[in-house]
Amino acid sequence: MQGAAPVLSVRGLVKRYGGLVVTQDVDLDLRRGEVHAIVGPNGAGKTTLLGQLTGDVRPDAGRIYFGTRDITTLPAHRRARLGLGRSFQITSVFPDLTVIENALLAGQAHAGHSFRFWQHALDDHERLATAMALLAQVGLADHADRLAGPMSHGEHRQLEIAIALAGQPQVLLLDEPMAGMGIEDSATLTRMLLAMKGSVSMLLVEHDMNAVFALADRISVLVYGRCIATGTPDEIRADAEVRRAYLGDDASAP
Amino acid sequence: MSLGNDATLYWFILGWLALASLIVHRTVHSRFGLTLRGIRSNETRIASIGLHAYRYKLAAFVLSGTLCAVAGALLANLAQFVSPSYMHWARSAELLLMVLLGGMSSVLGPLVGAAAFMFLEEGLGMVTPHWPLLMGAILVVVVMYARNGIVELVGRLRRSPQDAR
Repeated sequence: MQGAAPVLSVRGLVKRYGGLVVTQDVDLDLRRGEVHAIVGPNGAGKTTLLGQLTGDVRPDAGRIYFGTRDITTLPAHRRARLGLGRSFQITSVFPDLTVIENALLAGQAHAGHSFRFWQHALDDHERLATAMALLAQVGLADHADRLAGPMSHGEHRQLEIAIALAGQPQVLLLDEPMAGMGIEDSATLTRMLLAMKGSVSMLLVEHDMNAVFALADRISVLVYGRCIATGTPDEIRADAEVRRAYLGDDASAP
Repeated sequence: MSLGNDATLYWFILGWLALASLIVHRTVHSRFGLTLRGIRSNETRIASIGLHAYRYKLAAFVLSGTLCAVAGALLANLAQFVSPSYMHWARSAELLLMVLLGGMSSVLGPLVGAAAFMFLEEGLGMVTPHWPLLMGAILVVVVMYARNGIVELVGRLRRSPQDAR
């Protein structure tokens, strides 16, 4: 285990929608280089928690730290610029741009501002090479000049990851990256994420338990907005409360 | 140089048109242009890659307003007359119709559209005083069958002989 300070930490986070408490006093630490999975039944508040980390949802109480910096009130685009990359549960690419343009645009914020009015965006060889290397990493190098819109679901998911990686984030927030994927595609994506392990810290919200147990160093279980357990996959498998709340009483180990 | 001379004024305006087209062309393909196209394509995704859409949209409006201001100044010189009627929405609508007619997603489109619009206005005007009626019908057809206007239509016609092979 790395003893270093966490890259992302959450303290006493609370979010209510009217009378419904969707995040209830959640504490969470993402250690540098680890893959930390967040699991829980539907409606447990996983997406809302992620939304508060990305800056789309404003928490009612509690604090979020990126390293030592308090980012609780920072808007989404500023967090992204600090090094918080994310992928969306529902594919969110730029359908009217080509694959390479998607990758270039996604890397643009990292390279500084985009108020460059004259030079051709595709003429910057260094950035083009970086973007191509990224596409190769997610397996889309052969499709660089295709329009993103009409591609297949699996390819959209790959591009989704490429966009999230393009800003060279320190932390990757992955909202159900395997959503809607077949067994084969989801195994490919699992291998891809495994290969990235260590170079970037990942917070993974995922329903696919095979992927979770293959990837995660630690798992946090969310039930009704409360984090009921955090631990290694083995500890989580053995945890009585988790089994009762989530896996079902009679679960004979997954 | 006197802009009172018709020929001089013509070349002067044509020069501005060429310059404006070049600026727009370069802008569309620049990093800034890529950002704008990204915002149009998927604005919610823009924030998550670290860009603040509002700033880029604002800059685009300023750029577009500047070009329109130049056009306005040239129009005043051409007409030697400025009236409040230029502020009427119908004038803005005419400009929009030119863009629709020519094609929205290219630099060439609005140029072709402006020429086509003027040509139709004059031509149809000779046939009937109710020319807006015919113009309306033509616009409906263009919008229904060629979302990107005349430029797309011409492109399709030029490609189709090869497709048939």
